[in-house]
Amino acid sequence: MSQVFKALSDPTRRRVLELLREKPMSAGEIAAEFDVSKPTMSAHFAVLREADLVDATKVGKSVIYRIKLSVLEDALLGFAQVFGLGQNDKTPDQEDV
Amino acid sequence: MTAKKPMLMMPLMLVTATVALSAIAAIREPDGLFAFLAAMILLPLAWTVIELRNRGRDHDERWRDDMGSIRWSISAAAVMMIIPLGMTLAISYELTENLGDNLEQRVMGVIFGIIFLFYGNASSKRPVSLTSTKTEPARMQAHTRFAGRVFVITALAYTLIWTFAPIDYALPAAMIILFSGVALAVLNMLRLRGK
Repeated sequence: MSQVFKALSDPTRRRVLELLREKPMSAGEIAAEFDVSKPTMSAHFAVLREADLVDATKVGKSVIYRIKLSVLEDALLGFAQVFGLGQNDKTPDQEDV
Repeated sequence: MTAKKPMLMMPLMLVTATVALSAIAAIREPDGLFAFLAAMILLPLAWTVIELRNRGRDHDERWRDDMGSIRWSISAAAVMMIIPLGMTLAISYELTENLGDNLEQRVMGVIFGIIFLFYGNASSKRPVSLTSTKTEPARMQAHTRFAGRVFVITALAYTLIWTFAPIDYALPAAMIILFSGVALAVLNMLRLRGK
């Protein structure tokens, strides 16, 4: 559960989850929504995968991400968004990924 | 990067427990022999048939999705059979004699509510199939999330009814809540498919 809280504590990762709540997306499509470097984005994806909040599947040449939120995790994401948790968090490369 | 292998040990243990409890119940309660024999055979038979039908398929992403879903459902079905079988044996061994009137009924209701709660919570955790031809992934995902939330609310209400409602009203009220929740999920699925 601590991995889930860690994953939800970062605004970028929460935004990724919000995007994936709408539909499964490729890594490229998600990365295009953010103004961050590729390694940073990869590190964010790794944290989300580690927390079992997303599923990554290779389809052809691209990696498709799908959301894996239980109802409780979905509610936690909502709370984290409303209360703006971790607004000044470290970048994932500074975290203990 | 590849998806995890579909679970095997948990459904295997739960189905084994179902068979064992059914066998004990059949011996303890000969009056219900046929029902307990049916309970003993049903899940292993269904699971074997499903596994055999899927034996020739490539172990690709779709197979993993399908088998994960099937084995998860088998586990849930086993749990749903283990509880009444366990209660039957508890009554048979007179372990519930000191409980008050109707308490067995309430305990069963609450246990089912809690199982339903876990099921509802976890149901939206499974990623949608990317290869399904019936519904596009975004719609399927929207439905899964909606159904998960409806099931959790339904399960909470069901559990509370069995905990606090007068026993005469508990069963009809719980059934109305349960069927309303399931109907809402089904209607939402039909609405999304029709779009």
